[in-house]
Amino acid sequence: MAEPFIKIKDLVKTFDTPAGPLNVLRGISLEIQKGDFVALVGPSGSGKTTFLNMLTAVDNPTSGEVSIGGLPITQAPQRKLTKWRSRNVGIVFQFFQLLPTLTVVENVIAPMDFGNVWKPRERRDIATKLLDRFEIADQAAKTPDMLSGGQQQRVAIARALANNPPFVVGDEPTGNLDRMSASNVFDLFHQLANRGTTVIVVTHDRELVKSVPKIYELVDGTIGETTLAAAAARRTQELRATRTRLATQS
Amino acid sequence: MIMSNGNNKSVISLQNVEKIYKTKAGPLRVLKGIDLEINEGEFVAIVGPSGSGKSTLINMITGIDRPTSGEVHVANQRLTNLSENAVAKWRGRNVGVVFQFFQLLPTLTVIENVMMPMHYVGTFSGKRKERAMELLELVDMPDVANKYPSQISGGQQQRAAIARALANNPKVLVGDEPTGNLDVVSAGLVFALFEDLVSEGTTIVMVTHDRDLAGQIPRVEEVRDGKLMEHEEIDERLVAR
Amino acid sequence: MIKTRSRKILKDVLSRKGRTALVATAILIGVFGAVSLISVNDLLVKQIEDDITSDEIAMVRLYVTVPSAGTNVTTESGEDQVLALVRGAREQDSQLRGLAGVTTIEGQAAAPVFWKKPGSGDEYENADIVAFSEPFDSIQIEPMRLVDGVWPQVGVNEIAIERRMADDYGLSVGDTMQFRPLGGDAAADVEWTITATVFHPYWFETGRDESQPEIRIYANFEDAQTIAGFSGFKSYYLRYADTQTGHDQADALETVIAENTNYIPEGYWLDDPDSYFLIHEVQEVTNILNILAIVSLVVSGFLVTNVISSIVIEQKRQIGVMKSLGATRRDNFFIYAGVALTYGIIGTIPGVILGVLVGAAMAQELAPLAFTLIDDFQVSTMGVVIGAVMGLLVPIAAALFPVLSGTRVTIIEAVTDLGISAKWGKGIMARVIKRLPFPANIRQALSNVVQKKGRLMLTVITLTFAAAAFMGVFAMFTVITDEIDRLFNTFQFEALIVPTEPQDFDTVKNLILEVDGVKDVYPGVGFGLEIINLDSTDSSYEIEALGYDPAAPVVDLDFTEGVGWQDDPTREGIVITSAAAKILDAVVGDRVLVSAGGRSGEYDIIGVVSFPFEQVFMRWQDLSHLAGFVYDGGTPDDVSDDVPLPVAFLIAMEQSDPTIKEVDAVIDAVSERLLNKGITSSFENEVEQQESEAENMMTFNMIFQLTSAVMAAVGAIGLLTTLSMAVFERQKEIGVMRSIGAGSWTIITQFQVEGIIIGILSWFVAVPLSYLLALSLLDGLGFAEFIDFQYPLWVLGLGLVGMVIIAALASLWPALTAARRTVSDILRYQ
Repeated sequence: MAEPFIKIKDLVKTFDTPAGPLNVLRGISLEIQKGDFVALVGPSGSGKTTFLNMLTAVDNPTSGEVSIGGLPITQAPQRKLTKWRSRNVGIVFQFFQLLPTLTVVENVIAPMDFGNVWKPRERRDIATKLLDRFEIADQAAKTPDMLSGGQQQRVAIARALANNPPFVVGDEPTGNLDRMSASNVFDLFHQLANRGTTVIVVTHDRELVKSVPKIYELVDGTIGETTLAAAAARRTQELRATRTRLATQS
Repeated sequence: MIMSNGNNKSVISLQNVEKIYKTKAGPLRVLKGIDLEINEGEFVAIVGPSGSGKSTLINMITGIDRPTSGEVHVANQRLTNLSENAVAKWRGRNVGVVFQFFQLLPTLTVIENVMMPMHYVGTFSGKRKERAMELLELVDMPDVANKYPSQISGGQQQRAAIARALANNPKVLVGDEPTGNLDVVSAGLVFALFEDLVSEGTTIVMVTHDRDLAGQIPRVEEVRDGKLMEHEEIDERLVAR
Repeated sequence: MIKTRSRKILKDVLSRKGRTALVATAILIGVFGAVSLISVNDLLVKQIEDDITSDEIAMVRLYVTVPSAGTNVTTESGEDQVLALVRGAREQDSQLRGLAGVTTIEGQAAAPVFWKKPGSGDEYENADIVAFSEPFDSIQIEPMRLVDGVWPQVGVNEIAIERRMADDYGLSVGDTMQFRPLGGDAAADVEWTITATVFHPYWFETGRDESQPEIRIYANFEDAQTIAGFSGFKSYYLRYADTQTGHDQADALETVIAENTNYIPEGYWLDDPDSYFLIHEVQEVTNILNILAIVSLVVSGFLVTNVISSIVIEQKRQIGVMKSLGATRRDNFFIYAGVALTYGIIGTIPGVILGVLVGAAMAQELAPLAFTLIDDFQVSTMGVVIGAVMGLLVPIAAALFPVLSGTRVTIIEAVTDLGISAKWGKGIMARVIKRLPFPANIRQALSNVVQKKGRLMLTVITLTFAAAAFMGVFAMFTVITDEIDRLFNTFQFEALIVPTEPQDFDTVKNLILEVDGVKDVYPGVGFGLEIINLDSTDSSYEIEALGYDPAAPVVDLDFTEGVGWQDDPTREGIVITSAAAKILDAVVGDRVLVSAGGRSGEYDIIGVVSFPFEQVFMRWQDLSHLAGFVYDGGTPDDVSDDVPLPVAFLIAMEQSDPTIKEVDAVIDAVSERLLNKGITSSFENEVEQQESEAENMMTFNMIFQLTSAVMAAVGAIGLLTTLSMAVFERQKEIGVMRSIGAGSWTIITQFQVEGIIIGILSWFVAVPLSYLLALSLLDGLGFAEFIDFQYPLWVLGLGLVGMVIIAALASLWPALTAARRTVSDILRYQ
């Protein structure tokens, strides 16, 4: 088997809060291959976003290693990471996060101007082609507030791909979309994975997640491959246990 | 499992409520002819996919938003023709609102936060502090009364927000994903409290996407694409019974 | 190719037009103030420097008068006695103290005249006629320049006029004028032809008379005597081998002239040709304007800081997103500093243009006050450059800190900003405020105000400057105006007539009394004396002395010590002012030695009066004797039969509170009577003086108040911005408050209270600052030595009221905005 694209070893992350130290990730080890489409599920507050932040080098682990495409990103200095990130990771946020004063096509061009992957002259062209691919080129001159949620998310995905990164990360990318748009977004992710882009998605959406080839569940800071039914059953059990405990107390 | 002891008195009534937002992408119809009746003492869950309009629906109930057309009556008050100011005052007295993200005022202590609604509405004059302490005891938090919100945990903030929502003894308690950001233990505590309140006569309407939680609530309504579904049609994937 | 960074700058600036306009306006105001004020300074000083040459400036100006009218001041050969004295000394290469080293000496004469255009009825205009000891084209010291025509010739009824007089009266070369004749039966219709207009850039003063170029006529010496009837020169300008030699010998010069001629030296003025005093005086005042200009520009910089700070906070998410797209910290810095620079450009360009226009206009307007003339529209390069550079630098500098700290936000912080940021609670202030006995929403307001310390400080600084400027300037001008009022109220006469040469009191008095409306006439004398306090230190001081008749109700003195002449107007003695008492270290009962021009006498101090200037008061006869204004009774060297002559006649009118016109009418009638008897005189309309002083004060006052109004405007805009930012940041809080029952009034008052707290805090800090400001303004304007500064406390109250009003108004709009937002707007994400 080929060398895994993403290697995670013994990842630990502890936060200092006013109410005491919070162990969010308790030693996660994982391997993801190039072209995998991975979904990460788990209860609220289980650390899914924190885990993603480790992968995108937006945050540093307390201990452990993450290496992506051979580069050990946990060791690298900030400045290098900024550049690495713009060329290697496309991030799709839950609330789209398009720059409001720029038009759709200008939003897609933005990462190109920061990443310097394409020649300046080519950038607008490539951006328009990307928008075309997501069937939203006709909105190119509009500003984000003129688009629906679904349209904005498509622009956000186009932007995430602007520098042709090898992997794309989505944190609840369909959290704010209606059924139809959400379904389209997942279709797009499938297409990307088929073409060789590694896609990692955090989601609450019980319906759409079923179509994802690999599902990992993050529970109490540890990760395990899982089925949904098992996850659901475990949650209900935990809730009932808590209530029983409280009822016997009062 | 608590039996719903709703009596026959209507406390929330939505009639043919429509909500259309004007956006730059064109008019967006979020609620399409909603009819909803809730009686006193009922415990109701509102479920539905993202973007279905459930938050908008409960905003109608709390008066935070107004329908484009249709009628809204809550706690014997017709909301649709009241001014923003009047609605705020009515709400302070009659409805407790709990948001998804705690929303305590950061420059006031916990107990002052709980006292705020009494202050704004003008109730319990002279006994506010006392009553606020009682409320904090109800949510099992009397010892953090003099701390600022930044000094307590997320779960504690949420419980404080609930105590605040109960300050004026509202008839109706409305929560928008009140446990959405809580860990398992806190979520359980909050839910238990809600059940206690219902058994004492408060009407509780709660939006949630947590199907386990929804499964524990006596009455569930699903909002899909702006419409209320018939009970037989409710997507069972949203509710774990 | 425009890249994303520049694109974002432009789009951000264009998308919030209101905010852009606000900030750009503040910068515009600052730049406008800077450019116009600096231009005025620069243009005025440049003009004066252009017009003068240091080689032509006098080193010593000596002012003289004659003991009485008709005194002979020429030698047997008809040469002026002083000029002859000096010429003789030079020919003999005399080392006589006072005369050694003189390279040039020239005499100037001036007298008041009345003129009219031929055939224009009975009304005469007043003017001064001026003559010199040298022919016009050979004057070396402070000469006039020929602007149009040719120099007048002597004996053929030719004159010249100053170009400013030509402009004011519409006269030109070739026109003629007639003068009011001396003596009743002299021919009145002699016509004099204007053969030239001249430009006289140098300050021209002839002792008591300040000669305005707008009413100045030039004639050859003999012609001037014919017209105005005076006998000698009023002043001499001297240049020496070097300046120090001249300055050292000035005293001796006076003595030598007093002893060897019939002239009475009245005093001298020393000047350094390399640093002309006029330039200094103008610069002293305009330098203050420069400082105010820079300050108002800096204050508008604080506004930029506030706004950029708010932008960076608003755009926290965008900054985080851009970082996730690969933007480095430098990229983000470029963007937001770029926004600041863009605001700067938008404000600077119109600010510079306006500043240039207004600066040029102000310079032209103010030129006469600086005794110069600016003809055309001039642009001050220095003003433009400083204004433009600062207009661009200040916003960038102002943006530095907020941009550097705001772009530090990490991607996580930026993107997961979901709830209300709750960091309040640990500090001392939180604990203090918790304990204060105020209602909850006031404590909330206090906490909010204190929480954003950086922003609070900036807003407070902006408002403090405004308040301090307003109160300081107000206080200063109130004090000055009060003093001036008091000064004028001390003297209770409406007109002052000073014959060109001292005359017999009774003769003139009777002439004056013939005029309708004159109640009484009193004698007066003014002279500079050397005074030594024999009862304390040995230093001698030169102090102005005023002589009057204490029995006359003409001077109202406010005695703080002693009684003066209140009970006995014939008492021997001298009265000094509090200011004089200070420097002489004198009290009532001390004995002083008083001397002038060789004569001296000893007097007891019989009273001290409250008066801001250093002066002494004497009975006029004593002073006239001392000064030498006497009519020799016949026996030379025996002073006992010398008749003292007053230098001035003080006229009290019958009407109380006459208008300027009414006083003018009396003065006209009086001078006509005197002229008929061959007596020329100059006159002062005291009512007019007072009003014109008041007007001058007003002009200055307005300029300063304008500056402080500018600062107040910027301060108010700053407060508005701060509160608007607060409204934006605390939207969610407001939504929450609304959702738990807060009415609109609660929300409005919350922000109003915050605004007023900030306002009061600023006022508090401004109080001591305004005191300092008032003091330094007084010092800078040259009044500090004269006025004993007592801060009028009601000005503080006025400042506080003003501040509260400004704060309430500035916080009204944000407060209303806050109350107006619907909860659903606020709580809806994205």
